[in-house]
Amino acid sequence: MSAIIEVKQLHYTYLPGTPYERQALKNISIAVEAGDFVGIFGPNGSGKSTLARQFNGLLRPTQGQVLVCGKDTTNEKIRRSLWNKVGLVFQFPEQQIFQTTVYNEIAYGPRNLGLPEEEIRERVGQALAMVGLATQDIANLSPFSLSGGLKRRVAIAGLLALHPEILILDEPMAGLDPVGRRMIMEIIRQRRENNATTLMISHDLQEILNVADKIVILDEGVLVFFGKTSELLDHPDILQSYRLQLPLYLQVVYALQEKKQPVKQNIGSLEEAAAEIIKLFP
Amino acid sequence: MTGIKLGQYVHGDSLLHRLDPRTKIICCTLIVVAIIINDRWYSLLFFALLMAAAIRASGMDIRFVLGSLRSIRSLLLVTFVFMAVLTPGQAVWTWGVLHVTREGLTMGAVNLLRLIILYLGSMVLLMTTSPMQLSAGIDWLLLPLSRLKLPVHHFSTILSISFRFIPTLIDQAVLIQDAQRSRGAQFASPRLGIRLKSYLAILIPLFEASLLRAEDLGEAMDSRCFTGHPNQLRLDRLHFHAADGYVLISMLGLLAAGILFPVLL
Amino acid sequence: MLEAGIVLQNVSKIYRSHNGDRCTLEDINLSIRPGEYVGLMGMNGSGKSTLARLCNGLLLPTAGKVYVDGLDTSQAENLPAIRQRVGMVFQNPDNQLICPVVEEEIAFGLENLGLFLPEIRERTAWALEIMGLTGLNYHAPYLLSGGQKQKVALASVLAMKPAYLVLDEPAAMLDPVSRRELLQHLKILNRREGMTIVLCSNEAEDFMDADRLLVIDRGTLCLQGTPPEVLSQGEQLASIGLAQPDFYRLRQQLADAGCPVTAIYNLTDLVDYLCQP
Repeated sequence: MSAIIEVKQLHYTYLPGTPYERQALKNISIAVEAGDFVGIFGPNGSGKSTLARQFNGLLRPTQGQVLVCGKDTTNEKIRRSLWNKVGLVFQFPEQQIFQTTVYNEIAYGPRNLGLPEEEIRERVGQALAMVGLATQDIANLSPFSLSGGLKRRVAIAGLLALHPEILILDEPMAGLDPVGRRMIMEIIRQRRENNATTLMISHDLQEILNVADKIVILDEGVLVFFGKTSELLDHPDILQSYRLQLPLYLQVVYALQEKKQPVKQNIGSLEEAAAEIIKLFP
Repeated sequence: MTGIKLGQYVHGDSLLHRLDPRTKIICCTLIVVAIIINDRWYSLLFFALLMAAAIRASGMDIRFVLGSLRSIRSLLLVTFVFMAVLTPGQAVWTWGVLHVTREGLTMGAVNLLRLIILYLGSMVLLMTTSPMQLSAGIDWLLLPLSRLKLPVHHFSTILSISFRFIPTLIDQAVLIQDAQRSRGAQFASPRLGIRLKSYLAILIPLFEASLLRAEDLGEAMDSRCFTGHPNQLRLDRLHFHAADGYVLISMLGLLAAGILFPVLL
Repeated sequence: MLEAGIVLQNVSKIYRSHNGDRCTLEDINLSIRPGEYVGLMGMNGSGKSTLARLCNGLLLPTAGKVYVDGLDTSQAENLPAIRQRVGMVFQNPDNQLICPVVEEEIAFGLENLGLFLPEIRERTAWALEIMGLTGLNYHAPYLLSGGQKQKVALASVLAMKPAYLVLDEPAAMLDPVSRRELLQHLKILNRREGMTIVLCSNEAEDFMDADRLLVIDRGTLCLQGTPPEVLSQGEQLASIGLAQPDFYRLRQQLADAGCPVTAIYNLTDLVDYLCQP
């Protein structure tokens, strides 16, 4: 299997040579394979968003190498052309909405690709369906008149319409209510089903554990963990340092283990945890 | 995206920080008058050096402030070129119908210096005076106008609070620009039409966000008992100290010398 | 009419717009007693933000009355007194900070109240200390993290010594660590300083410390009780788009499998119970 994103000893420094110089990423090496669903977790200011900006060419490595689809992003020409391969959904993407209709908003990216109008129409339709808005007569409404949750879905559709090989979502759930979050989960589930390479950034470990096959943990710009989700669950020593951010079922499981109860530690869902705990009762 | 933003108030304890906001506003006005009535390069150079000294004295990073002149370099360049070409006089260099004149070069240099002094002066004022002080200072100075029932306080509050939002707006503009670039907006396109359209994709969301922000801010201010009347306490707290007197007198002296010196020569 | 507390009597709020009137709140009756910690849970657009803004007269009811310690919010001359009593914290930390220095931010409301400098200094120090921000006096708020900005916003409201603190989704834009810290501060303010708290959120996990939890759906209060009473009703919450906290879900699953844990309300007790021989 060849990697679709390869990061080799990446360092990144903001504003080098000024009084505000800050090293945001230190010696990061990871490899994402086609079809992977990777969760990127880290506390505030850990460098998650900086890392994502390296993948679609917005930032250039200060040191080291980032290869996307085999191409080196130190080359400016390649960086400039990456936007249509790597779709980056920013945090609060509804902030970028600017067109007068939902249709035009979603068509903005495809139009920049220079596609013919009929293909654009088709792609907008598909994208609306992917974010669960196909049945609604929404395409001709002004995106500014929509609720926050709907705006966010329209903004995500705008990137899906580019048919990116890799999709990166930066905190897609932030600020949404449970219904809004469920809608975003649905979009994520579809991408997983289609084996489309997806990266999701979150400061909420629970969200990541629920969906990712592989997990990257960053802390103050340093790579703390990179590997399969099940491997991470076998490393309570790493997870313990984020103890209060663990899903409640893991907190219960670890607390039970500390009291020498015979429960296994590699548990991936609340249901599994409940089944495991029940076994304690004869 | 991190770090102190240019033109933002930075708390400090220098003489300039401690001066009464009214003193600083009056001095800035005097400097503007001085550099307008004075077109001798050496007196302008003197004021430019004075500003640089003021920046130094206020504890700001002088390299940072001077480096920021780069952001207005096109304005500076355009001013210089226009002056050099459009001022009639003795031609030193000719290209087609355009003549660069000796007088033009001098005028260009003079106006360049004027702009730089204005820029540095406003930086000194903004970076050493907090918006609330600035607003109180303007309120006091415009007190005669508010007797005429003009909404002076609204004006000064709007002015000073808008400075506070510059860094937030810059951060947001950078973010939206990145977001639109990720959807294929071309800010570096050689075609002007495409470039303008791309910038529109930043301006519209920024405008929308500013409206929402204004609404939120209004609610937050109302909730904290903001009334829209000049705050008597804040005005009472303005105090002229001895230092203010010295600074004002020296500025007036400089201005007078600037007017008289050319006359006496 | 001098009942202490925030009292809403038959309150309705109708927004008029070109495509018809929209009722955001319908005939709400509610009284919040001094010292209470009240949670208000509802989806985005359920009307909870409108309700919060009625409490300090930012919005006025279309029908009905809102009283704060007996003061009618529809009388303009009452507003300064009402707003001093009812402090408000909003969702977006960037949009509610007015000044470029933390200390001035906190002084802003105090100056509007007409307080003198020694009092302002004292209250500023107190508010910074209680929010754990001591030493940040001269910081620029725009250089702080979201969580810290929200703490500054809360400190600047606290300095005005309000009797009631109304918070409209204060943690919606924060990371989980800052969220937990903020909730911890609210709990301390309520228990130690006796401050009345009204917390609006769509996140069930936020209400663990509340005395009373109200659920609002499409402009009406549909559920009411202690947090355990309300949060145990998983199906009803799901029907209006809200999620049960994980603890209640886990407890339910254990109970369904025949493990008698329904009278346990926190993680430590649950673990202790499970460890009994």
